[in-house]
Formats: sequence, C-alpha cells, structure tokens
Amino acid sequence: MSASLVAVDYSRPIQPLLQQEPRVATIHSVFHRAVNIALDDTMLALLSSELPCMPNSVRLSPIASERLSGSLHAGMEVLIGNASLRIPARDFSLHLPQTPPWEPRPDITAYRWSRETVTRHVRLLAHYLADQPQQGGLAPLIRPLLLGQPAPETPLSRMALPALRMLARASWRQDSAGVAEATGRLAGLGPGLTPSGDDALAGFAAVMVLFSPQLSAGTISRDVIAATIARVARPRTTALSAVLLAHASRGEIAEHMGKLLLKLALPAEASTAVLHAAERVLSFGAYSGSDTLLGTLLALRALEGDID
Amino acid sequence: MTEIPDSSLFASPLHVINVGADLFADAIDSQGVQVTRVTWQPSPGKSDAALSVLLDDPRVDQANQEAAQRMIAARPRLVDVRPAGEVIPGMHKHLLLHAGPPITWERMSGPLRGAIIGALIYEGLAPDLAAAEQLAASGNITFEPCHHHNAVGPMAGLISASMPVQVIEEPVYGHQTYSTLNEGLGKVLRYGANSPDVIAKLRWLEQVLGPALARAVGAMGGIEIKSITAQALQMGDELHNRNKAATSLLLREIAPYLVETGTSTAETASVLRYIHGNDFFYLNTSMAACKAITLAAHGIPFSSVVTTMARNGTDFGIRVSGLGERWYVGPAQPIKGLYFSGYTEADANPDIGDSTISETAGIGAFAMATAPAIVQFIGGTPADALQYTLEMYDITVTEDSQYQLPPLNFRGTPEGIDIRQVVRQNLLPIINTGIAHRLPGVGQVGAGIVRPPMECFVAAVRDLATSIQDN
Amino acid sequence: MVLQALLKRNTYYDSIALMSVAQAVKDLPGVEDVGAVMATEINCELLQNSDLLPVAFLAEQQAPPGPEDLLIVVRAANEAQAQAALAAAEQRLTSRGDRGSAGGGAMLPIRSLEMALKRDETANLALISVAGEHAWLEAEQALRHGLHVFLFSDNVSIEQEQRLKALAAKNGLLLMGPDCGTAIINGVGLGFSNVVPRGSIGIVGASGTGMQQLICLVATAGMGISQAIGTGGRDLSEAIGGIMMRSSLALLANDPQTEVIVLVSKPPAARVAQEILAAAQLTKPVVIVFLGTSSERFAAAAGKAHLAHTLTGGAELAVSLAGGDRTRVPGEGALHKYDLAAQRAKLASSQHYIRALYSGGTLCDEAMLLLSEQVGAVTSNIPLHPQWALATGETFRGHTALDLGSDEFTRGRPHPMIDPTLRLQYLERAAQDSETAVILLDIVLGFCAQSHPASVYAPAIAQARASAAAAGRTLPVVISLCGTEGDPQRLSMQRKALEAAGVIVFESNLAAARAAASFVEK
Repeated sequence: MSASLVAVDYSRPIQPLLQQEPRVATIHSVFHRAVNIALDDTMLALLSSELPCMPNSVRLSPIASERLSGSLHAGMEVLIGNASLRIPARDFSLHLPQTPPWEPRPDITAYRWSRETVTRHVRLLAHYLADQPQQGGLAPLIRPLLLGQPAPETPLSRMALPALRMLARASWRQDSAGVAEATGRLAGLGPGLTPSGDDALAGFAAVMVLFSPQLSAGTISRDVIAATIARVARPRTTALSAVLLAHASRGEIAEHMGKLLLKLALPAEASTAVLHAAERVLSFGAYSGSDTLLGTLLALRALEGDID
Repeated sequence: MTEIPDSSLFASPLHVINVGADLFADAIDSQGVQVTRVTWQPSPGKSDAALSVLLDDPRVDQANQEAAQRMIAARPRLVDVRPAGEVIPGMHKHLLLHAGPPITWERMSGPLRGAIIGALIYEGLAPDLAAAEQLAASGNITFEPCHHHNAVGPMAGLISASMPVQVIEEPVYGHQTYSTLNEGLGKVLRYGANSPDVIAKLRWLEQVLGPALARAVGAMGGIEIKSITAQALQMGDELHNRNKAATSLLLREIAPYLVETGTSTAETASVLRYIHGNDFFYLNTSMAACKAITLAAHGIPFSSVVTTMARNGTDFGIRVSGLGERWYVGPAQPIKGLYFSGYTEADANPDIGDSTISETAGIGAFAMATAPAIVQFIGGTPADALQYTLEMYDITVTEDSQYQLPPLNFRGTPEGIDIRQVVRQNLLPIINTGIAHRLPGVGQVGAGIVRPPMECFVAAVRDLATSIQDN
Repeated sequence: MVLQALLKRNTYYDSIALMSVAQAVKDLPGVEDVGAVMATEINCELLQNSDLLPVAFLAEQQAPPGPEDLLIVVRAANEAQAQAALAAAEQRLTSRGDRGSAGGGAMLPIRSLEMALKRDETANLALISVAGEHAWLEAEQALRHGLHVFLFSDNVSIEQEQRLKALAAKNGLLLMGPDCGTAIINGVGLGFSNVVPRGSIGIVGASGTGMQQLICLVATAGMGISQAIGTGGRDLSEAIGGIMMRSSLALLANDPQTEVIVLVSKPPAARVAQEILAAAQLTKPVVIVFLGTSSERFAAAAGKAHLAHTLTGGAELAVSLAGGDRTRVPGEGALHKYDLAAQRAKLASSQHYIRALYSGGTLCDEAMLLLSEQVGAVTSNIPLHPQWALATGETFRGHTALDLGSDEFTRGRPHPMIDPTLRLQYLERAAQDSETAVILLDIVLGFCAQSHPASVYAPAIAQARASAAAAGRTLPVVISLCGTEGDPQRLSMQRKALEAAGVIVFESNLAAARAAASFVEK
C-alpha cells in the first residue's frame, strides 16, 4: 500500500491516545469503510469520511480507506502516538491534521431549551420511528413505550420491553439499583455487531448526561445513571459496544445523533428539519440508528416524568 | 552485495495478470491458474515517461485525496439573484462572458456568434443585427470565458452586465460562483437566437424573474443545493440532460416564499408558471453549484484532478487542479446521438457549453446509471447507461456518497477525474449533452453522447510531470 | 425440527452483512427461523426463548462462546435442509460482497495493470508481452506494486533494463526479461514452456529454447524441475552485468526444494562470466552451460562449478548430480538406432551440404557449434564468425544454418514456433536445391507453440522427399524434437507422425546435429 497521508479529521476524546508516546495497538476488525483498532481497554475507529464522525474516530478519504481496508486483517500491529498512526506491515502512516479535533459532545448548553418544545419533537419522532418500514431490532417497541400502542409479539420484544420500562422508571426515580438491573437485562441483547440493546442503552445514557440539567425538574444531574449503565453493560457485551457505551456515558455520540439532539432546540414548527436530521441518523448501519433513536426518545420521555 | 528476491513467491499459488497477447493468458488458464487479463492499449501521445513520473510520486495521490475531500465537503447554497455587473468580479459594460476556453471572434461557431449579437443588442450597445456584428468584430468588445470569473453558462453561455445571475455561496472554502437564469427551450439566446422576442424575454428575466427570485431566496435565507441534487438523483435526474425532478423540488421549496414576497398575484403566478414550464430551470443553478464544488478542489499543488471541462463550440478545454489557470484545448467533438425529426449530423454544431462542469463534479453523464430514461433521447439501452457510469469509477479518485445511485446498490457517484488514469487507460470521461444547430438561432436539434479530445489530457499529463520533476 | 449451528470466534461482520445473510437464509426451503447474534449471555437466553438455542452444539465446544463470538443458528424441518442452510450462510459470509458490482460490473474491460490489481489484490506476477516501446512502463508499474515480472517483450532499451532490474532488486522481486521467452514458477509454465514434473533441479537461463531443451531432457530422464527462472537474453551482457542471474542463483541456493542448479546462456561478457563463476561456488552443485565456450576459457575459475558446453551435456551432469541416472538422458546414444551410414551411401554426388532451419536461436547456436567442429564453416544469419555471414539475397551457401526466429524473419509475422509458413517455404527451397545433403530442423513443443506441428511438417516433408526422389535424390531429414509427453502436443504422438514420414527424430539437439554431420563429414 505504501502511503503517508493526512487524516481528514479526528475526535477530541482520542486526542491524548494519539498525542502520547507511540504504543503498540492491534487491529480488532476490518470492514470495507471502517477499521477498529484495540488499544488498552478502548478502541479507535479508522473510518472513511463517507461515514459520519464517531466519538473514537479518525477519518480518512474514501479511496484511501477502501484501499487500506483491502490490505489489512485482524491482528496486525498498529503504532499509535506522536500525532500519527502507523501500520509497519503495510508501510502506511496517517498523520493528524493541523485543524482542531472534532467534538463529539454536542454543545447543549449553548442553546435555550423549552420542555414543551422538546416534548412535541419527541412525539413527532416517536411517530416517525413507529412508521419506519424495517421492523428489526428494538425500534418497534416505540409503540408500546411512547405511543400507548400494542407491543409486537416476538421473543426479543418480550425480553426487552419490561427492561426498557424499568430503565425509564428507575431513571426518573433516580434509582441506581433499578437502572443496574434493567441494564443487565438489555446489555448484549439482540442482533447486530453492536447489539440492539446496547445501542438503545447508549442513546439513553447520552441523553441522561446531556439533558438532565436542562430538562428535568429540579435540574438534577443524572450523570451517575449514565455511568451505571456503562459499568454494568461492559462485561456483558462485545468490546466494541462497550467502548461506544463508555463514550455515550460521557455524552460523546455519533455526528448525526449529535446534530439531531441540537435540532430539538428549534421551534416546534421546524418539524421538517428535525425529521431530516432523524432520517440521517437512520440511514447508517442496519438497526443501530433506529435502536439508538429509541433509547434517546425513551430517555427524553423519562425526563418528563414517570411512565406507566 | 547481491540482493536476494523474496522467496515467498515460491510458497504461494501463482496469480497472474496478463498484459498483452491472449496466447500467454490462455496457456496460463489451461494450467488451471488464475489469470486476470488486461485489455491493453498503449497510452496515447507518447505519454509513458510522464505517466511513470506521475504514478510514482505519492504527492499526487495525496493532493488528489485533498481535492476529493474538498469536493465532498463543499456546501454550495443559492443565496441571491443580482445583475452580473453588480456581483461578478471584473464585470463591465463592454465585457461579454462566454462558455468554454478563450476564443476569438473569427473562430467562433454560429450559435456563439448569434448569442453575442443578441447580448450586444440587449445591452443597448448596438441598434440592430448588422451593427452588433460589426461591433463584435471590431475589437472594442472583450470576450472572456465565464470560467475566468467563477461563472458558468450552458450552450453559448453568454453573460452580459445587465443579465440577472444566480449567486451561489460556498461557505466552507469561501467562494462565490454565478450563472444566468435558464431561458427555456426553443429559440433562445444560448442557442444563438437574437430576435426581438428573445431580447424581450431577457428583459423579463432581468426585471421580473430575477428580482422575484432574489426576494424569495433572501426570505428563505438561502437554499442548500446538494440536498436537492441528491434527492433528484434518486428520482431519475442526472442533472445535465434531465433536470425535471430537481426543478420540481426547487419549485416546491421556493413557492411559498415567492408568494409571500411577491409584488402581485399575477406576477407571482407568471414566475411560478415560468419555472413550472421550464424542465431545465435547475440546470443553471446546478452548474453554478458544481462550479463552486470544483473550484474548492482547484489550486492544490501536484493534484491531477480535473477542475474544469468546458466547450465554446469550436474548442474543448480542461483545467487541472495542480496546473493553475492553464487551459488544455483540443477540437470540440461531434456528438453521437439521436436527432429530432428533420435534422441530421450535417446540421449539428460541435460540442458547446459549460454544462460539462456537471461531469467534472461527478454528476451528469457520470450518474447516468440512475437516469436510464435518458437513453430515449441519446440512444442506447438502460444497460448502456449503467455501463457508462461503471466505467467512470476507473478514472476518478473518489466515490461521493452524498450522491447515491440506487441501481448500483446506492454506490456514490464517481467523482474527481484523474488525468493520469484517463491517459493510462485510454478512457475518456463520458458526457451527455444537447446538440445545437450550427446556424445561430435555430435551437436544439438532438441529444447524445460525446467525449473530450484525448490531446487535452495528454498535454496536461506532460505538463504536470514536468512541473513535478522541477520540484 | 432440527437445529444446526455455526460458531465464528473473534470474527466480526458488519450488521448489514449479518442482516442480509439472515434474510437470505430464511428464504431457503424448509428453514423455519434463523438467528445470527453475538453470543452474549442474554442473547443465548434470547435464542432459547426463540427455540434457537443449540444446546448440544454448545456443549461440544472446547470453551463456551462469549460476547466476541458470532453464533449462527438455523432451525429447519430436517437435517439436510438445516445443513444446507447453514452452509449457505457460511458461504455468504465468507464471500467478498463487493458493493459496486451491480449489473454488468463483471463484464467491464480491465484497462490497466493497476485496475487489474484492484480487482484481484492477490496477484503476484505480471506477464507482459506488449510492444517494447511501452512494455517498460508496464514492468515498472508491476514492480512498484510488488509484483514479480515475466517480460516477454523485446526492444526494451539497455537503460530501461538497467533501471528496471535495479528497481526489482530493491523491491526483492524477479524481473524475468526483457526478451524472456520461458520460465516455470511453482510448476506453472510461463511463456513458451513445457509440462514437466516438479523435482529438485533448478534452472536459471538467459535463453528460452536453451532452457526448454534442458527441461525436457531432464524430464525424460525421470527427474523434475523445482523452478526455472528466465533472466532475459541480455542479462549477461557487460551493460547489465548478470544481475538477474546472480540474484536468481542466490534465490535457488536458499530454496529447500532445489538441490542442483543449472545456469544456461550464450557466452557472457568476460567480466560477467567471472562474477557468475564466483557466485556459483556454493555448497549445492552448480552446472554451468555457457554455450560456445571451450572449457579452457573458464576452467581456471570454475572451482566447484561443473562446466558443460552442450545442453545435453549439462542435462546429463545435472541429472547425475541430482542422484538420477544420466544414461536416461536422451543423447548421442540414440544415434545407434539409425543406420546413418547406409543412408549416407545413397546420397547423389551433388549432395554435399547441411541445411539447418531452426526456430530456436540457442538450439541453432548449439547446432552450429557442433557442426562447425565437425564439418567446418557454417554460414548463417547469426554466424559464429563474421566471415560466415550470408550476403543479402543469399538463401544458402555451403553448410547453412538459419535462425528463422530471428528479428529479420519475424517482422510483421508470427514466430516460427507458432506459425510454420515461413519454415515450410525454406524447407521446400532446401529440398529443391540439389546440393542439399540433409535437412536439419528443430520442433519445440509445449505451451504457446503450434498445437500439432507434426500434422503440418510430416506431410510437407513427405512431399519434399518425394519430389527429391523424382529428381533422383534421397533426402534425409533430421529433426531435433524438444518436448515432453505431458505437453499439449504429446511428444510420442508427434514423434510417431514424423517417423512415419521417414524423418530421423532425436530428442537431443546434440544428437540431431551429430547425425546431420555424419551425412557430410569427410
């Protein structure tokens, strides 16, 4: 392959890993537009810039990404540090650009939030999600959870629905034990490389961290809830999922989800913009987008009040 | 010290690539060994040495990735409609901008001359056709490519100071680009027509349509163009010869604001009807957006990506990101396609217009796979449409997933023509275009497929190799 | 109701791939349900709740599956259907799903070597035969992309050859050529080559037909070839300095499959020969065949290397050093099979000269060397001495040996190894010339050569002999037949057909030349 490139961008949370003295990491998995690299107990994602930014991503141009993916396999060594990423076996090196890193934690505090407006957007999005044609993963559970409609009768739904209800209720009541129990019933559950349950938990945890101060009565912080979710899920699920959950518990989320959350500050009439943003969230991955959106909406609902 | 070759060859099964006679590939095949056959052609124009330099230097690949990244990141928005003299840098009363590379009056083809004459009358610089022709030939009017002023125009592509132009702003890299308002089909200025009703329509565009659009677009705070293009590509448009869906989407977005900012019901209705009746309305907007996109990728040292393709009816010219403002020209080619009844190749003008900026930005003919209906106008079959797009992936530097093509499993369009690959593989970019009558003012006589002349790319490859070696 | 399961440990597939595999498998006949999930504890519970938990299968596993493992389970009506479905799932997962290849993609022409590499990244060798003017760029691109190169093309300049061989050396790659006609790598014949068993004899050659002769003689003696590496005709010139021969020699020296190495070439430049001899002082036996050099010239520097000055001699040495029976190598022993003296007695008084019509340049060289030792001057288009050159317009003069594969004969027409037309014309002319005492030709079998040469030559030779007989002359024809039984043309079949036309056939070029000489020797 033999190339020396400059990355398109990289995410702020992984900046320390990239700047420190070079250390040896290992390739965990290779896909045609993404390469996951394991270092210590976390992972970096080397993505094509066709994909949205992730909290742990470094992105490179689409052709470089495609060529690189074709020549790599799991287990190869990667040297990370000194503002670069090197794969000696392929004579490949990727350098960080001069531009500032991408911030995966959306700047919620920069906007004014109205509970009524957010509630209306949540209803809108709940209907939108319920109307989606593909009915895999946990997204169909939006109907019983937020819209008072009957639940689908599948083994996955039967296992997940009570756990999701428990999660919402326990969060409202700030009941850590309840959150832990619900998480234990959701982590690692369902189809997908990042199982559906984890994606929902990630969306849920991120909202707890980002919006709790703004939207909940008494402006209570629910950071501890997010931390509990990440901690309990960790040993019960895939390494990749655990890494993304850890980011989510710090409010660090994928680019399109971040944009969607910020759109909730728009006036209620701006439904088109909100739906467009939701469309982008759903367009990537198989069920990841819709499962994450489910978790997000459930959490926003849980901040409004108790659910039954 | 004798260097020993890598013995891992002896430990792996042989997988052969055959470059040359099938005799050898057949022999390998008959031994049950995997062989990939290259359909080899020599690189044209004795360009081997230059290609060797360009293919080897990693700075070219890096520069191309930067160019691709910029094209993808650009975010053109329609923000205003204003008289050309007010917004186009360097514009003045005696300057006429035209499509394609620089050209003198003597060498211009019929449609371009006709358009210039019309523009001079429109601007009030000449009272009639004869006087206008004299003035045009006199040397007192300056002719310059639209491209030299960050503008683009379809067919003759005339822009004069009073004409209203769409203003496209690109905030990521800070450019502004321009194009006129599309006049519709038939006897129009861009096909070289210059009769009084043509001038009258130009006047209407200047006095009614332009200001109405300006008010509406202003009230909207601008319109994001890539989003409309992306949707239209999934509705059967390729944004060069088919713009119907995109025009409809644009009309849908802007209609309420036209109503709200309109000066009278009758006027607003005439504007809405105009756009509704002009299936090519979006073309000019798309072209200006493509100009902004390719402009973002221009001027990157060592980059071999094409940032301009344009024709003036006599010459076809290209410009390359890493080669500054130099034009590389060759003869504009005859177009192969279908003619409206009553017309034949004998009536056709050679290729003309700046609309090839669409292909330069990865849409138009490059997206033909998603607009199979177009074969009804240009000839061929829908399978051909797929083939044309698929071939372009081999000569471009990236796939743009903002523009996904459903018939290719939502693959992104092939974007960023690499002059090295055009010459190396002897494969020219594909263009589909309208065919103008060679006499001024008759109009469109057909549509079809055309390619640039190879000599543009060969000359550019040589120059880029020289400039790289000097650095 | 039957469950079949598959566990893929530490393997990661993206969700869309998993989803599409599951969907596709669900549609197969007899399949009731499919699960494709990461084997977390809770997912095992999910599978159980879906009647998809393969209890027995999981119990069999050495270690219980965990969150990093992919578990695929199929529930079907019967065993066969379940297994078929599971096999389909595995096949879909492991095949490369190329998103871009919708409709017609497979049919698109590949227009450059780099594009070919994009489609097959496992390629490791480029075989290049385009015009020399352009071939250097192809070879350069191949080497830059890490491919070994077989460069058949000639008309590549010396400067280019130097540059390319330096690049190949730097990248640890083989550049076989330019002007390389033959190689066998990992048992696969490249260019004009023959089907022979794998074995312990390795060859490095600057001559295509020279290599082919060695290879075929060795195979007929029951031995095999480990690798046969071509260096291109100009490798041993002063300007190139034998780079490829030396590095290939080093490569074979380290190759565990190779026990004996044979080097073959026309006489190299003196300095180059010295360097090669020096490099050939290895533990493994090295046989060196520099055609046209008398032993004395290099004997002093030979050291451990075994020198031979004929191809047959080289084959005999190699076979014996490799532990085989050298008497099995076809050689001069075959001369006894024919009563050549009796045939000679029948020649008319006008018949004095040998007319040799060769397609292989090295075989022609070897023949000329042997003939000139026995019968004196041999005129040629590739003469051993300048004074033996044929004048323009001269077809034959005295003993004549022509290399019809040489440039002046192949301009604008196919090589005689592929197309017999030109050679048949010369055959007729030689037969009509009353001074011709014997006609000698080579027929080289193998890949890329004519598919059934005997079917063309046998009738033509029979015809020629008949016309000569009508004019009162017998016309002996000797053929040096280079090939193996494994070749597409089948050695025995070609031989039979030729012998039926009265041809005297030898597998050793040395023997053929000796036989021809015996017809005219004083």
